[in-house]
Amino acid sequence: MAWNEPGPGRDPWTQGSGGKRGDSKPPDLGQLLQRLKALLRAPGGGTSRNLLAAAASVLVAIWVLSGFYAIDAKDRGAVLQFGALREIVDPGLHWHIPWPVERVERIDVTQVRQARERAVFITKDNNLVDIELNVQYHVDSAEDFLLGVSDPDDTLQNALTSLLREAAGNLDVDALLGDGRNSLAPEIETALQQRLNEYKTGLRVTAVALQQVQPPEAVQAAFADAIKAHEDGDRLREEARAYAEARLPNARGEAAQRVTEATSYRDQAVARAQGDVARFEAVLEQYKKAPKVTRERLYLDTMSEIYGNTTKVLIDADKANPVIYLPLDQIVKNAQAKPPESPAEASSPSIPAPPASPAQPGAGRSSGNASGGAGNGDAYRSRDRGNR
Amino acid sequence: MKLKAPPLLPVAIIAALLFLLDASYFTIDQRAVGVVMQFGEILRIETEPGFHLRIPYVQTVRKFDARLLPAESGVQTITTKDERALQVAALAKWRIADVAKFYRATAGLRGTDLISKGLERALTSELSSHTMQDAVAGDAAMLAALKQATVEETKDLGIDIVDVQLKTVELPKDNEYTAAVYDRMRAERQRVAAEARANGSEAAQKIRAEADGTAQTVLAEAYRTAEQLRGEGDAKATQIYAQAYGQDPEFFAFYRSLNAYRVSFKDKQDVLVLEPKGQFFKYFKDEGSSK
Repeated sequence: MAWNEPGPGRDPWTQGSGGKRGDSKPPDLGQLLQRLKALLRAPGGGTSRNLLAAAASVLVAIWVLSGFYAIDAKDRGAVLQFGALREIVDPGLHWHIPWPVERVERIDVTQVRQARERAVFITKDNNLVDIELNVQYHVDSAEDFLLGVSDPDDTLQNALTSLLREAAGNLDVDALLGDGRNSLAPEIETALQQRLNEYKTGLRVTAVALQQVQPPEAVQAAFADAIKAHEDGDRLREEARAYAEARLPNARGEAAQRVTEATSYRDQAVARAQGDVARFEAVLEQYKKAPKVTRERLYLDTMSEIYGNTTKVLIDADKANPVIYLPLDQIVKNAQAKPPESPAEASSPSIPAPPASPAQPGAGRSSGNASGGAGNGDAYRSRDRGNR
Repeated sequence: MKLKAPPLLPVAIIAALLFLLDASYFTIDQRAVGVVMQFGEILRIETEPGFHLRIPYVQTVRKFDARLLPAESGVQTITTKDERALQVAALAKWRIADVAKFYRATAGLRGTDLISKGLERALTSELSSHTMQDAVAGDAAMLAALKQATVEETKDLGIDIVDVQLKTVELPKDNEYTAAVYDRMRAERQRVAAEARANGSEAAQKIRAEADGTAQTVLAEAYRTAEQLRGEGDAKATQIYAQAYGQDPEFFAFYRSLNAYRVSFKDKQDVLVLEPKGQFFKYFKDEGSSK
């Protein structure tokens, strides 16, 4: 309540301040001095008495003036009259009844106060966790701050310590380091404010910030590795998924290829069969016309081709003498060393007519070939249909 | 103008009066209560803040803080119900309820000390019948019991115990003990880590196996289809051959044999050791005219 607040019955000077909690107002100085002078003059004048009166007046004036005080914008003033709280005043210029009747205590209400708690706490599952937490607060009720507890700041610090310890003790280490850490600060804020209200500290918590929650230094490496292990597990899963993603399409591709190949094989087999049969039938037709001759000619052509291409050893010996030394290795080696001879032969017949007719068996063969016709020549080509 | 020195006597009288005036009143702060004593006896309790009169030099006044006050126990090493060693300290919030009783019990000096001692006794007896978890989590029932025990311990002091909280709950400051806890924590983390890795590896293997299984099924199905197709081709080809060759099986055998010979002996690496006999060599040694 401000001393200059307007309203009926609020003027303490005319009503008399009587009660301890009455409002104060500076007395009219001039009037006071007049009264004092009158009082001093009454018994009889004199310079020394005048002097004394003047000195007294000055003292009184100083006393009265000493009652003026200013409250800073950040503060509230508690006016105590003989120790009893008369009122809490807002910032501005005020006057109180000077010493020894009243005095003023200033309380800083706007300053943001801070409390910090950092300790290693025991968790619900008997692990240790290093937690650091900061609290910001300010004085909300100057009256409660003044009258409630003997040490508001210490009270808050102690309440914070026990609440944080209890909160940590109600959570497992995994919860504290994981999801639980997000709810920790709001929970502490609510509980702390509630306890401060119970104690009537006049304090208001404005912010609770969790600075850190971490395992103690001695075991940090193990915790870090556990976190890394989860990452590793996830990585293995992802790698396997990537493998699976590729594996199936690859298999489908391979399957499609096999089916395509098989389809192609089927078509080839049929086509080859048709081709072979067409050839056979063509030869057969001619064969039917002159079976004996054709048969012999086919045989000789074939044999001449075979003998022409292969390495051969002709033995016309008596069967009674079985010991014949045949250096087969040497023969094969010589055959391989000779190649320049055979390509020259192979390239020489540029004539389109029967390419299968060998040069070696002799000139007599060639006349027979001519009668056989082109169709027969083709028949000597080796077919590879059997190798599938 | 000469200022005469004031006479000694009046000055002394004024000073004496001032002293007397000063001694004839006392104030009670809003935050305090007063005990008015007369010759060592408690005359009255003054709880009303403000200005009060007294008989000078006969009555004396003792003042006490009426606010909520802290009392802290020292750190106690206790063993909990579940055989765990803990270091605990409690903090009580109290205020004076009965000033006369408080004054008599504490002689006005050691109040906080006495409460601290009571708190320590309550703490030691009460916590040994609770588990470590209760202490660590600040179990409400445990705190209520602790408060009740503290009230019992301090019931002669004329105070109200408003609140008791555990301020410290720590493992013994014994290096071996802490090291053991750290070792356990480490082992636990190693288990968690191994489990996480094994889980990942298990899931990965499962995913791979499933993928392989599916892929192999797909391939097997493809094999089935492919073999069916080949079979179809072979069957069709066989049918075609059979039809054609059936026209003259004897000639086919001959024709086919020739082809087979040609394929079997086709280059210089094939070494034939021959006797000049048979159809091919019919005329080799003899022109045949003698026949």
